[in-house]
Amino acid sequence: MTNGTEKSAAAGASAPAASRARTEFARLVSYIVFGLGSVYLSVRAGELPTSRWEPLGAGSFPQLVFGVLAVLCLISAVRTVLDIRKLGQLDGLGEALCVWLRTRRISFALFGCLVIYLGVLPYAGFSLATFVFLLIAQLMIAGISKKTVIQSLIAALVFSVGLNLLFAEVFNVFLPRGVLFAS
Amino acid sequence: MFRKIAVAAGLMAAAIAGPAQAQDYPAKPIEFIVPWGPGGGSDTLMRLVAAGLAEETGKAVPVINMPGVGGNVGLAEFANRPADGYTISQIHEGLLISNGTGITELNWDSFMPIALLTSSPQYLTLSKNDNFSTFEEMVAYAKEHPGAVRAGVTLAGVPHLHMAMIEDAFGIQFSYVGYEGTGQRIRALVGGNIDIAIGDVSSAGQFVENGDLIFAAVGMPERTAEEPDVRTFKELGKDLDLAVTRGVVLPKGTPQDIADALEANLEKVMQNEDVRTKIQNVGSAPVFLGQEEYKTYLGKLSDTVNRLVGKLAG
Amino acid sequence: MLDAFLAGAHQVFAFDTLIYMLIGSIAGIVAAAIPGFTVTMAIILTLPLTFAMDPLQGVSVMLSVYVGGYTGGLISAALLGIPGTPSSVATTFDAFPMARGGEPGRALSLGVWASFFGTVISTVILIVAAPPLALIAVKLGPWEYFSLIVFALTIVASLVGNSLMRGLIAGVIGLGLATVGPDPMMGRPRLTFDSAILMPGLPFLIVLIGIFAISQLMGEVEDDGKSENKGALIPDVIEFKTWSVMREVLMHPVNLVRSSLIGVFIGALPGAGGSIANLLAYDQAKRSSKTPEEFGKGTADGVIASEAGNSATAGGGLIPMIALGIPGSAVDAILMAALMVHGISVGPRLIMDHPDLAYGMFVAMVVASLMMLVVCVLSMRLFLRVTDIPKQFIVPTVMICCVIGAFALNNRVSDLYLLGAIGLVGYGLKSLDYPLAPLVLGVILGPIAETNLRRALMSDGDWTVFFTRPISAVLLVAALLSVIFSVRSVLKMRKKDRPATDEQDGD
Repeated sequence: MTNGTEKSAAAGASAPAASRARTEFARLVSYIVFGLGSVYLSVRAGELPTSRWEPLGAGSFPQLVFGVLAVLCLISAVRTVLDIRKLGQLDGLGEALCVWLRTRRISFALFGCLVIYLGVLPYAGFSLATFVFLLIAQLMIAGISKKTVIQSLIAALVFSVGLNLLFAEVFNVFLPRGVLFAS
Repeated sequence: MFRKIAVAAGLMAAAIAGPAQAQDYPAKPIEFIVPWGPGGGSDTLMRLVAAGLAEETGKAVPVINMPGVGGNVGLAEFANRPADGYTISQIHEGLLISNGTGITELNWDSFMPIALLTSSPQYLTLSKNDNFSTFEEMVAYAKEHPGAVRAGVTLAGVPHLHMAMIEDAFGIQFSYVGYEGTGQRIRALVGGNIDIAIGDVSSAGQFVENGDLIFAAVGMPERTAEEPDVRTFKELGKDLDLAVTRGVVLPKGTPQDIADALEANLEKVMQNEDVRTKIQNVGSAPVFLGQEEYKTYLGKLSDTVNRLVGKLAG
Repeated sequence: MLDAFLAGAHQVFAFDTLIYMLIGSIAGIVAAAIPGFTVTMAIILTLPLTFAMDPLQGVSVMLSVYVGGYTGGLISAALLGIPGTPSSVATTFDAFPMARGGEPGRALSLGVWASFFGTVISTVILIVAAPPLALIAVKLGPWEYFSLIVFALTIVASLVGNSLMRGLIAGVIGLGLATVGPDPMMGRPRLTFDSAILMPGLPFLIVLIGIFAISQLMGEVEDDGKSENKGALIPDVIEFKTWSVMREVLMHPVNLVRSSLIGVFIGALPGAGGSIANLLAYDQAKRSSKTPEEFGKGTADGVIASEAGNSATAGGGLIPMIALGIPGSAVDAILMAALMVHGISVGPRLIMDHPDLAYGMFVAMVVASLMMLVVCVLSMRLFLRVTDIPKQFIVPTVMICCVIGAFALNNRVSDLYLLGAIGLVGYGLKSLDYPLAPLVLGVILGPIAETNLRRALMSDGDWTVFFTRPISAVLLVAALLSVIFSVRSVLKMRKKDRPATDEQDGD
C-alpha cells in the first residue's frame, strides 16, 4: 500500500496544492461512480423476490450494504468538493492525466495483453496463448535486444509448454486446450 | 441376477456394434466432471468410482471439480462437451429439484443416464430435546404445535424435498432454517440450534452412538445394515424413499455403443470389492442400475419432485 | 493413552511415511508460495495417492501439505507483496516493506519461525483442550457467528492506511461484491444481470488474486522516467541469520502467544479460517502495540503476528474435526474423507475408538511443522534468489501463475474474465490510494455475516436474541468497544499529525 502511495506521489510533481487538488478530483470521480453504482444496485436488490421461508429475503442484505455505500460515497464526495474549493487550483487536469497515463503506459499495455490473452486462451489453448503472451510481455518490459529476445524465448517456452505438460501429465489438471487443437 | 443380464446385454451390444470405436473405448483418459466442490459426498464417492474406473480401463480418469449454483455450472459446461464418451459427469436428486424450482433449464433427460452407482440412505435425525425423542412423539408434537419444530435443510435442495415428503406424508408442518451441507446441519443439530435434520451415517452416526442425537427413521425400503435398530418409514406407515442416489451420465448424442461400453466398465467397477468397501466406508451403498433401469428410476423420481416442488419454491 | 501415543508415533516415524511427508511439505510450501495456487489444490492432488496408503500415513502426508501451505504464502507475500494464499493478506503489510527495505532474509526468517511456533502452540492446545473447545464451538449458533463477524468487521479500522473514509468505502465495496451471484440461502441468482459470467458469483480467491496480484504486478512496471531500475525487484543482499531471528521471535512472547491463540480460536470455528485469523491477529498486535505507527512500515511485530496467527489455525481447524468429526474448512473435509475412505468413521468417538490414530495425528502435526521449518531454512537461499530475477521474467510469469490458479480453482473459463476485470478495478483503486485489504476482508466476511443473520432470523424471528445470548452479547460489546477505540485513536493521530502532514492524505 505504502509503495503505491509513494509512486503516485511522485507522479504528480509540480505544485503540491495543484497536485493535491487533481488527486482529490480523481477521487471525487471515483466517489461519484461508486455512489451512483451503489444506488442503482440497491434499487435492483430491492426488486428481488422475498421468500416465504424467512423474514429477510435475498434482497435485504445487498440493499443494506449498497445503501451504506451510497451514504459513505456521498459524505466523501461532499468533503472532497469542499477540499477542492479550499485548494482552488484545479487546472492542468488534462495534462496531469497525460503524465499519469504515460507513467503507467507499460502497466496498461501489460493489462491490455492480459485481457487479450484471457480472451484468446479458451480458443488458442494454454500453450500457444501463453507462449505469445509471455514473449510479448517480457520484451515489452525489458525492451528488444538480441539478448532479451533469446532469454524471453526460452522463458516463454518453459512456462507455456512446460507448465502445460507438468499440469496435464503430473497433476492431471487440464488447462484450456483450445478448439484449434482439440482432438 | 439382473447384473448378469446387464453384463450380457452390455457385451452383446458391444459385439453387435461391431468394429466402431467401442472396442477400443476408452483409448485415452476420461475426464470426470464432478459438478460439486472437493470434500463433499459427491466428490468423495465419485473419486472412488473414478479410481476404480481407471483401474478397470487402464486409462487415467482425472476428476475435475466444477462447483457453482447447485451443480449447474459444471453440468452446463458438461452439456457442451463433445459427446464422445471422454467426458463423463454425475448427477443426483439436486438436479431435478433445481430444474423444478426453475434455477436451471437442464434436467435429467438433458443427458444420457448411464448407470446409477451409489445410494446414500438418509435418516431423519432428532436433536436431544425436552419435547420429543422418538418419531411418534415428534409427529405428535408437530401436530400440536404447527411450525414449532425447526428443521435444518438446504433451502430448495434435496433435504428440503425430503422434509417436504415427510410433512406431506404425515400431515405436519415444520419451520425451516437454511444450512449449506450435511456437516453444517449436523453441527447445528448437535449444538441445539435446530430440532430435526436429515443426516446420514457418516456425518451423524457417531453422535447417535454417543447419545447426542437420535436417528428416528430411515428412508429406505428395508432397515440398513449399519443401523439395524432404526425403523423405516414403511414400518411407520408411509412408504417414503429418502436417499441420495448418484449416477453417471454422458452428454446427449453419445453413440450408443460407447454408452454401452461405459456401462459395462462401470458395472465391473461396482463389482470390485475394494471399491465397494470404500463406498460403504463413507456411508453409502454401492448399487448398480443400468441405462434402462436408471432412466425408469429417474422418471419416477421426477414425478415425486414435480408433485412436491410447489412446497419448496420460496 | 501412552500406548496409543507410542503406537501412533511409531507409525509416523516409519521411514517411508517421513519421506512422503517431506515431499508433502515441500509441495505444500511451493503451492502456497505461488500466487494463485492454493493449499486446497495441493491437498486434492495428494488425496488419490493417500487412497493407497495406511490411514495414518495418508493423513500425515496431508497434514504436512497443510502445515507447509500455511507457511508458504509468506514467501510471495514478503518478496512480491502478493499474498500467496488467502491466509497471508496481513503478512504483506509488514513483511513486504521489510523485504523492500533491504531485509528480505529477515522478513522470511521471522515469518518462518513465527509460523513454526504458531503451529506448535496450536498443536499443544489441540492435544490439551480439543474436546472442551470443540463443544464450545459447536454450541455457537448463527447469532454468535453474526456478532463475531460484526466484531471482525471493526478491524477494518486497523487496515485503512491513510484515510478512514476510503477504507470504509473499500470494505463496503467488498461486502457488496460478495452479494453478487447465487443467493446463499435459496441459490437463486441475484445482481447477476443474466450474465453467465456473473452467475456463479465472484469467488473469493479470484477477487484476492485480481485485487492484490494483478494490481501489484501492474504497479511493478510503472515507469516515471526517473528511476532506471529495470532489474531485480529487490537488489542484492541475500542474508539471513536463522538463529538470531529465532531469538528475535522469542523476544516477542506476548505477541506470539496472543496471535497463536487467536489463530486457534478462529480455526476452531467451522467456516471461519486462516484468512480471518491472519488479519485479526495483525489487528490485535497493532492495537496493543506501544508503537502502532510502525505497523505497515516493516515492523517485526506485524510479521510475527500475522504468520503465527494463520499458522495456528492449522491446529485450531483440527479441533472440531478430531473431537467431533466436524470439518472446519474444505481442507478439513478432504482430510476427513481420506480417513473415511479407509473405514475410519470420524466423529465424537474417534479419540476413543482409534486413539492411536488421533495421537498419531498430533505427532504428525509436530513432525510436519519441524519439516516445514527445516525445508524453509534450507531452501531460504533459493527463495531469496527470486529477488534476483529481473522484473521482465517475474512479472509476466507470476501473472501466468495467477491465471492458472484462477482457472484451476473451479475449472471455469468465465472466472478468467472476472480475474481481468477485478484486476483493473484493483489497480484503479490502488492508484487512488484506496486500501485494498478492507475490500478483501469485506468479501471474506460478507457472506458469513449475511448467511448467519438470515439463519438467525429464520430460527427465531426475534431480533433481541442477539443481545440475550451471552456470547453474542459479549461479542457485540467487544465490537462497540473496538469502534470507540478506533475512533479515539484516529482522532488522537489526527490532532498530533495535523500541523505536519495534511489530514488523511498520502499524496
